[in-house]
Amino acid sequence: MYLSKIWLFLLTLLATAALAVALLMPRPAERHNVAADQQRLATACGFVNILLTDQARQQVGVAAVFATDADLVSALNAASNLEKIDDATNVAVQKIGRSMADSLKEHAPDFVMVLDKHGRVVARVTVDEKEFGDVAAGRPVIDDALAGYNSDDIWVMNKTMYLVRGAPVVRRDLPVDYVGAVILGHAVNAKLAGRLVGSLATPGVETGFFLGKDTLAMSSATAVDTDLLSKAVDGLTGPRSDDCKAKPLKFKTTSAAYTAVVARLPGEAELKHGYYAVVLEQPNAIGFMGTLKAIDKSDLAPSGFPWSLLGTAFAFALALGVGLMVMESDRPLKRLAVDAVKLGKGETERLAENSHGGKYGSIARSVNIHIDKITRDAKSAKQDLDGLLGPAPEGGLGTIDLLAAAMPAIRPGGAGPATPPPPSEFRFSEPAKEAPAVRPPPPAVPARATPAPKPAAPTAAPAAFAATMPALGNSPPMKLDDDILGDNDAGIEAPPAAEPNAIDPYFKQIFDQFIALKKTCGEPIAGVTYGKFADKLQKNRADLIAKTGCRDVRFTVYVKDGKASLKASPIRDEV
Amino acid sequence: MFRNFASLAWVSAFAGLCAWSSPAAAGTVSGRLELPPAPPRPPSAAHGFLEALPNLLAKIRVTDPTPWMFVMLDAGTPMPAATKPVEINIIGERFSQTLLPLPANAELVIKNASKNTRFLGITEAPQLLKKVPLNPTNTQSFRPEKAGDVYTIRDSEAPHLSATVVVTPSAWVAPVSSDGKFDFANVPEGKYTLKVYYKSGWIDKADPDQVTVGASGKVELRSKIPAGFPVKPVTPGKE
Repeated sequence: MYLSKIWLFLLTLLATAALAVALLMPRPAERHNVAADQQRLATACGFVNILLTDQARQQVGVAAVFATDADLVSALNAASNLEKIDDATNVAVQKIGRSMADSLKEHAPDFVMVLDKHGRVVARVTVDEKEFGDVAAGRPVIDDALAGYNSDDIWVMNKTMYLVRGAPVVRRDLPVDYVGAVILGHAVNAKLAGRLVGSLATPGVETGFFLGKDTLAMSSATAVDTDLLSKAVDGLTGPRSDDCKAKPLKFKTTSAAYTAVVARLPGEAELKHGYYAVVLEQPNAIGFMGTLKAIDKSDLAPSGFPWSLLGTAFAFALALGVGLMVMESDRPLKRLAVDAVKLGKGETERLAENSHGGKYGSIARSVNIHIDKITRDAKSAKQDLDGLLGPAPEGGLGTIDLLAAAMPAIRPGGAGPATPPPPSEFRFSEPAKEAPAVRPPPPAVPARATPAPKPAAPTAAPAAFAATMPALGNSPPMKLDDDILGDNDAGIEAPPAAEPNAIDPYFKQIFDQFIALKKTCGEPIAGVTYGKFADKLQKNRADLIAKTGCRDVRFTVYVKDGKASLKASPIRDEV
Repeated sequence: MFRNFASLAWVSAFAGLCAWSSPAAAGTVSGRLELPPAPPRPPSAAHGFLEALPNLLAKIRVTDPTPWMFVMLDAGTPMPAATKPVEINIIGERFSQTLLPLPANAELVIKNASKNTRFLGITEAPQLLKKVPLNPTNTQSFRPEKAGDVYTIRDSEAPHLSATVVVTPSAWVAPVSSDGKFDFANVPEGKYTLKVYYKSGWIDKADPDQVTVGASGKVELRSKIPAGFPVKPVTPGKE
């Protein structure tokens, strides 16, 4: 059993380890997924910045082309020399600006601002078209354009964010001079955000533009925790180029959990707490069951899964376990069972302790100890009965037979079955086994009131009498015989007693048989009177009933050592 | 023309000062700064996704340093308490003066002549200016306490809208025109040192220009600004 236990321990350990591995296995993968998502976010964030920069470059180019329009140059040259921008100039320049904006079609700006060389607004297109003449110089992109730079910026006007591009308007006729600037503004809206997300080619990523806690534009309807994002932006103090490398933020909505990265927007928008965010929905933690569900056929294909190795390991484990079980459990148990059957059959009196090892040897020893104890008890019981009733007649029932009859009577809960418990063939001894076979049908118990028919007088000869013995047995096989008179026939004669008033027919029958047998044996019968004989039987029966608890006592005459003797047999209740 | 507009603002700003400080015996000081060649204007520090790119059709405009300059006649003695306020206007998306000298104890009045409500604040001394919206046509004022202080007035909603105010120990301050000319009128008789302020400090000259103003008459002065506009940074509160 020792090896089996070790094997069971190892198998349990292996199973536990396998379960632990199975539960732990998804976690590194999930961690890897989270890290990969963060990397995707950082990449997407940086890519959004690249896209916006590239878009700024393109639109600055558009503004520069816009600024080279000859009509516009001419109009601004004239406007710059005006003391005040008049309506005619405004309308003329506005017309030029609108025409050019319309020519850009899908790239048309959301507003156009045309300024003279002094920074005065000559005309506006789309936004505040009726306002002109005010000084817009002062904003970096305008000042840069008036100084000769193509530049861009991000403005926030009326809760709308604009990507603003500026270009100087240069008079190329001699003397070459700056005559004004053109400012184009493209609104930051959901369309732009969606276009950026579409360019990312990163599934699941959304982007949005924010001003503090206000969402200005989002590529989807995803609800974003702007409080969290705004605080995160406040914590960005390094170079703007490092914003996308910051630790991603996690937030939850009612429907999903998200990871986000925020990055400050440049220019004027940065000073106004403008930023953009790239958001990715967090994958659900798949766990062990999720991993199982994610398994598909390709994972289980023989080419991709070591079925042979797994099968070999299973077969090896099974064979080793079965082998150890057979070696340490089945075979010793079988040997013990065989020994037990031999013991049951009486082929052996004890179990072979030395041929069984371990617990089985201990069982055999325990059984043997109990057999020894039962034997001792039986001998002791017989000695007690012998002391009480006298020795059993020769050829009478053996000790074992006696015990077989006695044991059921002392069982708790009442009398036991007449037959021993299974196996049904089991007997403690052969005589006990054969007893029922030779046992005559139980005759009616000779009762005092209604005595059974008396057996034929076996007084002819001892042998003849002995032959009648089975016929006399009208009780169960458990007979307790004894010579109740022994050699004390004189005792019967000695105490003279008065004749009983009533003669017991049974006692009289026994008396007659006894006298006849004595005569047969050549013994004197003088002094043997029925009264004394009956008193003796009466007393003996009373003692035996008191000592054995039997229902009645049957008396039998027989020859012992050439003399007539009398024995008493207790009659118990039939079971 | 726009330059003329700024000059008008200067004139209006200093007219009060001159009128307030006109003594009985006073002269006029006129002069011209010999400016070194100005470098091309650098692009703004604030920009969008791109660095500003010079256009290829014309040279970048040179920097005109004069909006960032003013001159002061320093007598070396404490000036009398100023009573006339100095006014600065917000025009469009900028202040009428980028750099404004403000005699100590004079009140600065900020007028919003733009179309938008402004939310002004002083970076160096937020307590001097109440945090209230400045609606169009309204004014807001404050009075600095110590000469030598430098204040930056900024609109929190329009970061590009800012002006620098330099608190001067002398009331005799004058702007510099784009050709370097300046004028002081009604200067009391006495000896003065001409100081030139540029952007963030006083021009550091080996030989300061001394001016002696008589009871009447006009003093002509020419001052050469060293190349590179070297300045001694102002230590706030020390003048």
